[in-house]
Amino acid sequence: MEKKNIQGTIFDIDHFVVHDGKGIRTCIYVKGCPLHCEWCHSPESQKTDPQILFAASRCSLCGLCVSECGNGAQRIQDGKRMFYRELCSECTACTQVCNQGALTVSGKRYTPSQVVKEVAADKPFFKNSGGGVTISGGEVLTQADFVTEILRLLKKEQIHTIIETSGYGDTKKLLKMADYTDIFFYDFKLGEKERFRRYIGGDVEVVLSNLKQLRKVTDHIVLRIPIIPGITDTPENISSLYETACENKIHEIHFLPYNTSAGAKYEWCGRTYKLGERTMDAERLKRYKENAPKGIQVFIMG
Amino acid sequence: MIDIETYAEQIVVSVPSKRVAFLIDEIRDNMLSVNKKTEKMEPVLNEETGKLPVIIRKAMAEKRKLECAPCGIWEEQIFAGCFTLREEKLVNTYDLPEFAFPQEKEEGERYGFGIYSMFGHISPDYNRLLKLGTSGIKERIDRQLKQTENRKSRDFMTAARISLEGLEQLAANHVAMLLDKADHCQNKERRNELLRAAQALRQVPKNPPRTFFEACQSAWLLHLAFQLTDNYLAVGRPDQYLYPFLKKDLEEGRLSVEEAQEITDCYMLKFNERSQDNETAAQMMDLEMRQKKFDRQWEERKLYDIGHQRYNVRDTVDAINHWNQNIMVGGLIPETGEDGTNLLTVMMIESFRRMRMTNPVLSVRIHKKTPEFLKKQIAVTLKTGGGLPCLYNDETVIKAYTHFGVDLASARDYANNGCWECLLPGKTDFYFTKLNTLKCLEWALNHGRCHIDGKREVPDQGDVREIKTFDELYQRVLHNLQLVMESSAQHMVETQHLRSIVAPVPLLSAFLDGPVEKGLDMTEMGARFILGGIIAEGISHTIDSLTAIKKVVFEEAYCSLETVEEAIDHNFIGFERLRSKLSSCPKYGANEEEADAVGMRLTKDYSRIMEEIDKKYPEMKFMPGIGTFSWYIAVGNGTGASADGRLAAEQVASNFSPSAGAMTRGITGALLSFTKMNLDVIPLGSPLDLGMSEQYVKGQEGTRRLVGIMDTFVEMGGNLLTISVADAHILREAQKNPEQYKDLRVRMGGWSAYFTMLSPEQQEHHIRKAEAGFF
Repeated sequence: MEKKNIQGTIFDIDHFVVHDGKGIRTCIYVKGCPLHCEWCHSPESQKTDPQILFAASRCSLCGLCVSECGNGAQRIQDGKRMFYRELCSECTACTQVCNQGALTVSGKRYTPSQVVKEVAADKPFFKNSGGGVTISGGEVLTQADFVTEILRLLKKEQIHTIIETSGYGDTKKLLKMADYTDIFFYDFKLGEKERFRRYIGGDVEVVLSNLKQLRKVTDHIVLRIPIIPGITDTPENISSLYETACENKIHEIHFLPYNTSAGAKYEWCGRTYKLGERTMDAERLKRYKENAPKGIQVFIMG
Repeated sequence: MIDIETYAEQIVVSVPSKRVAFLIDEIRDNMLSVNKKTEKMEPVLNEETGKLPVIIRKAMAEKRKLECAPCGIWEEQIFAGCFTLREEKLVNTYDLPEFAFPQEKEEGERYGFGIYSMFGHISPDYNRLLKLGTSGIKERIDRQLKQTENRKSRDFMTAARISLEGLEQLAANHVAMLLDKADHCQNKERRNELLRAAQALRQVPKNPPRTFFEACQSAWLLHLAFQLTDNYLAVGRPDQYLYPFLKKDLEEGRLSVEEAQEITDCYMLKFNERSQDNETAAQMMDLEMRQKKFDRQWEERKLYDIGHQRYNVRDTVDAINHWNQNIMVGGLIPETGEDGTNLLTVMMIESFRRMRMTNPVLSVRIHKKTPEFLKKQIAVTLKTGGGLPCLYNDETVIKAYTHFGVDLASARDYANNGCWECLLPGKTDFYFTKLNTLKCLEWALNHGRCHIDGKREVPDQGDVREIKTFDELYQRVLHNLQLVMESSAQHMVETQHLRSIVAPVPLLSAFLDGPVEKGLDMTEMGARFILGGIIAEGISHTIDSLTAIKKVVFEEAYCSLETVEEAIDHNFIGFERLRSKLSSCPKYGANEEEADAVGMRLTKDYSRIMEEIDKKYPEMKFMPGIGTFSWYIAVGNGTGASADGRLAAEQVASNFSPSAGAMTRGITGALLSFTKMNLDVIPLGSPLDLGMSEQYVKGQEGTRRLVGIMDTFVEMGGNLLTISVADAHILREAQKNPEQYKDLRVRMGGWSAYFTMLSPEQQEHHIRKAEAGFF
């Protein structure tokens, strides 16, 4: 059964990714996320609709965008390029004339078969390296029908699939994905309700209960925790992580070390990165890894 | 016998022996030392010898050179014979004693040949050396001499004999040197090593070797003799021709595996003894004179050497440690078509990994039956950087060779020349010219003129306004391609035999299949297989430019072709918007149908034109290749702006790699586009140079990914692939602290170079590429 008329928004398709599963993988990033993790390293993934990114450092001050923009949103003032987002109608005309790649659009509409056509071209690489496709975001559950249809088509092509999710969304839709998903990379960010609300925005109970439900239909779940110094790497939170793993009989955990370049893209979105520089305690991570409960394998990624 | 697979897996964690570690340091240290040059030799040319034909005088010059060359052995090295003598601080030159009359030189000059016009890029017949020895070859010559009255043949045979005597004398001089050193040596172990080398050189190269050690010493001495006589030659498939000796030694218990690895390491290290720091070497060169020569070449450029782009001394200095010392290992056995991987294949790759040097330039042939352990070993070696070993796909190259009419067994024996072009080792006389495809498009739009200096380079094909369809433009480009190719082929056919006026090569001819048998020097078309190559440059940009014009002008009617030409003529100044439009079109290297379709059409037509030309000339075999070597800067420097948005004089992409920024679908997209390009009719090859930062290939999973790339490359029909592992931040660090990155190497389109020694332009080129993460 082919589902007609489904479309989705994707902000990137990355070929040959290395941090999201085994072998040579192609990663699809869907746009839109109900959460707002302070450390999110793809701030452009949060808004569902396509948006204009502006990388000032790449601008050569050629002025093409200034004359292209009908709203006066792109200007050069005192030899400096200014982007007045409040005047921008998101018509994207400026991005079409930019030679330097300073102005780009993040987010493109696709049908599931268009996506699958592009990623399935890499099939020989998947086959020869034990790889496949990983779908990440944003949050895949914000475009669950679209993602499920992609998964279905991928399985038809016998391609290995991984879903990366925060688990924050509709339970039924999550369980439906399990029909076509080989492995779930399921986020465990913060276990404590109040801190989850503060740093991530939302109710942690949704995540934990979805995990329980999902566990009933699949054995292949890996818990992934972003290690944000001072926030997610507290002993309490790690204990909470291990508890959750034990309760759900999950045997694999990935530590995702703090991405030091996470802040770069905030400026491109016209936002400021609140978290700032943080240094990770590698020793501490190793200790956590060593102290993992029996039967749980911990991998430090990156 | 040891199990190869186990060995391949265990050596990855092994370390070089004490001797090898010492030699590695010695070589690095030697790079910085300014050495004296050997003295000029007495001329061969005099009243008496003047009566002899030039080929005999040349042979006498080769012989004198080999007789006079100072002999040496580096401390701790087990093989004798060096280009650079470490203790004596002396470097040999490639100079030959004077042997030619001024009028001979003038005549040669008229056709573009000088006394040093030996082109180099050839792979001699080491099997002949190891099976017959010089005495066996001389016997063959003597038999021929008895049978022929032909004057030219007799002269050649006599000359080849003289050159062989020179090689024998070189060996004899080394024996004397070794015995003398042994006499003065206090250390008993070292003394025995010196005596072992002396004993070997009494046996070889005169006779066939009895052991692996002797085989290596023989092969090395011949390679050295070539280098001393201005023959910069490739080494062919040493893992195939040396292995029988290793096998016998191991089976009969004469060698342990550790000893065998050390011998292999020492042999491989020999190729680096003449490496020099670029700056140190540049001090010893007349750069001003060379630059003048390059400028003159550019001014006087001709159609058949139009590819001779705007060379700069930068290119010469950057290439200082490149002497065409190519080694090809692995691949199929010619007679059976079975996989030829053996213990020596593994040992040679391991030597290369250990020493982290730029020589010999290592390539590995892979195919559907290449064992898994070898692919893993290649992957681990690739991770050490420098883009070596270069990978060749037997499936595609052999198919392309047979497509051009070469028999299957010969095709299965292919190796490479001095850069990367595939040829048949031991029997090929090779020459190539270059074809700048981007210029063919430039001419089609600009009345046959160059945009850089306005010079008319080909006939005017009419005003750009007369072009009404994409096909008309495409046909103009093809026509220009054909024009240059015809002109090059004709030039080669008309002049190849004229090399013999001043540059006959009796020594090399003695070690090729054909000359002795036919009684003709290689320069008189004596080789079994005479190959004229044409190498298409800048082709990725030509594909992108044609695609952009097709889309913007003929499909979307965004602007006229005349406007595009005007924009190009103005180097896009005042046409920035159009430039954005053009450069945002689909490009080769991202598995995009539109661009790839243009590429498939162009590569197919290119090969077809070459095939037609090949059929026209029975004297030579003409074959196509695609690439730039290390001249991607020079090629771009001589070419105006292009319709893909590339600015005037900006460098082009290396070889058949996608242009900068075109790989929007990553490494996989690049390989998918590349393998569509009719590579099975491009026998000389068309390397795709890929790069990735270390994070992509870290650990066992990274090894698995690299093997996955190799398997896909083989399966999808790639031909040549290089994978450089480099991190931009490491390259930047190396720029700041060169002394800490002495072994950091980068791929230069045809070979590898020490990064810290490169010109600022080249360093920036590599950093810019590496900044993309994958490239």
